[in-house]
Amino acid sequence: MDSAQIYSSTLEQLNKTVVRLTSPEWDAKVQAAPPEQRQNALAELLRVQHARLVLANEELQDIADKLKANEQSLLDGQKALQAELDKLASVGAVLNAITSLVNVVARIIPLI
Amino acid sequence: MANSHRIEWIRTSAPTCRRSRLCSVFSALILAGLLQIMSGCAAARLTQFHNFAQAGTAYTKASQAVLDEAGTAAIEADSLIAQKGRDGLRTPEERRQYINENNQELRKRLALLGDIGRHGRLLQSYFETLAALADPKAPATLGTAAQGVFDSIGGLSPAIKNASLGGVKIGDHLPQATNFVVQVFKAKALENELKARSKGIEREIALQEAAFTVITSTLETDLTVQLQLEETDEVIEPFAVAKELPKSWSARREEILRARVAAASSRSAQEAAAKLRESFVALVENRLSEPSIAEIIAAINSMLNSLEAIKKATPTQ
Repeated sequence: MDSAQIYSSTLEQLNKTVVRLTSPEWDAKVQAAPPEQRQNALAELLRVQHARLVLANEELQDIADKLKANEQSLLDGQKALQAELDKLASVGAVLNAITSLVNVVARIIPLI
Repeated sequence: MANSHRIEWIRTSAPTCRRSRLCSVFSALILAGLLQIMSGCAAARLTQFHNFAQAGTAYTKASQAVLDEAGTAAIEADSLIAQKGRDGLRTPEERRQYINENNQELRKRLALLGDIGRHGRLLQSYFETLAALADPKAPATLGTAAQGVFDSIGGLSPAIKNASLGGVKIGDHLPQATNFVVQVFKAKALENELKARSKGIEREIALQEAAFTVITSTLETDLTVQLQLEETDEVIEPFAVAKELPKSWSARREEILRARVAAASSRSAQEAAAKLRESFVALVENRLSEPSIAEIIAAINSMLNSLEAIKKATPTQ
């Protein structure tokens, strides 16, 4: 996969994730979760939104090498996250998958 | 509570300018329609160029409304997410840093949308100059004016072409160049202008098409986020926990559900740009027909209809 494709698929995954994390279905799941997990869910929603804004504004040529260097982790992270978002079985599992992917993204672009 | 107050405040203050903008677009469309009717007369060439310039004006105004909507939707989605997730940040310092950085990223996006809008408006000026050049009595200075406008368009396009939005580089979505031959026109200044710059202008309209392909996809995500959060806060939560449902509940529910459908079908801006490009080539080849202009107008109307449905359901904007 070339760096443009890695870039697009990563951002597309972040877009899909933010859409899922703002859905009524996810909201119902989070409301039924323990307080600590609810707090984490809110923090991850902010991290995903921030990551998608920053990545969307990046110029591909500036991050092409880093994308290529992290290709496998990004693709694995996207696949694992999408599987969890499709199942929406447990809040904890979705949050872990989000954290894994966003941590890889943070190796490519500076995130807060 | 604060959120619903903001919604009411903007509801009462925003619609006036929105309506006047759309009214002026509709006026432009009516004018374009009248000019079509005139096209049967002797000054057919002049009418063709005027019709095209009018269609270009209507396109620019409607596409500006899409750009405004894209910027607003990006900010609204980010604001709603920030409000929803605020408790996920534990300290004032974390919150300050988050909102400052997101503001900075949103400013970058707005700057790009502004460039695309300026690029569209310059194209509109160019089409108006062409319409003036179609008049055999056009002053010689118009050719220089056309070159000046073209140079300004060219000055903006590299920044747009190289920009990314929503993970997609705009330049990667440029449609293939169309091969065409400039016809012989009685108005020599017009013919010279078209020979000199029509291929470049075709590429600039293609850039608008590419930009709107990318903008539409980002707009869809932002609108979906916004509408989902509104559905949760204004439809699902009141239904689940409120002692009594507000009187407006069922109307609001319908607006939000209908807007979800409109958000998923807001691809008409790129279609309008594509039709404009096809019609420009037809114009240069002296074969622009009334149905071609009607197709641009139909695409623009479809763009406006989608925007109206979205705006009706997102009064917080």
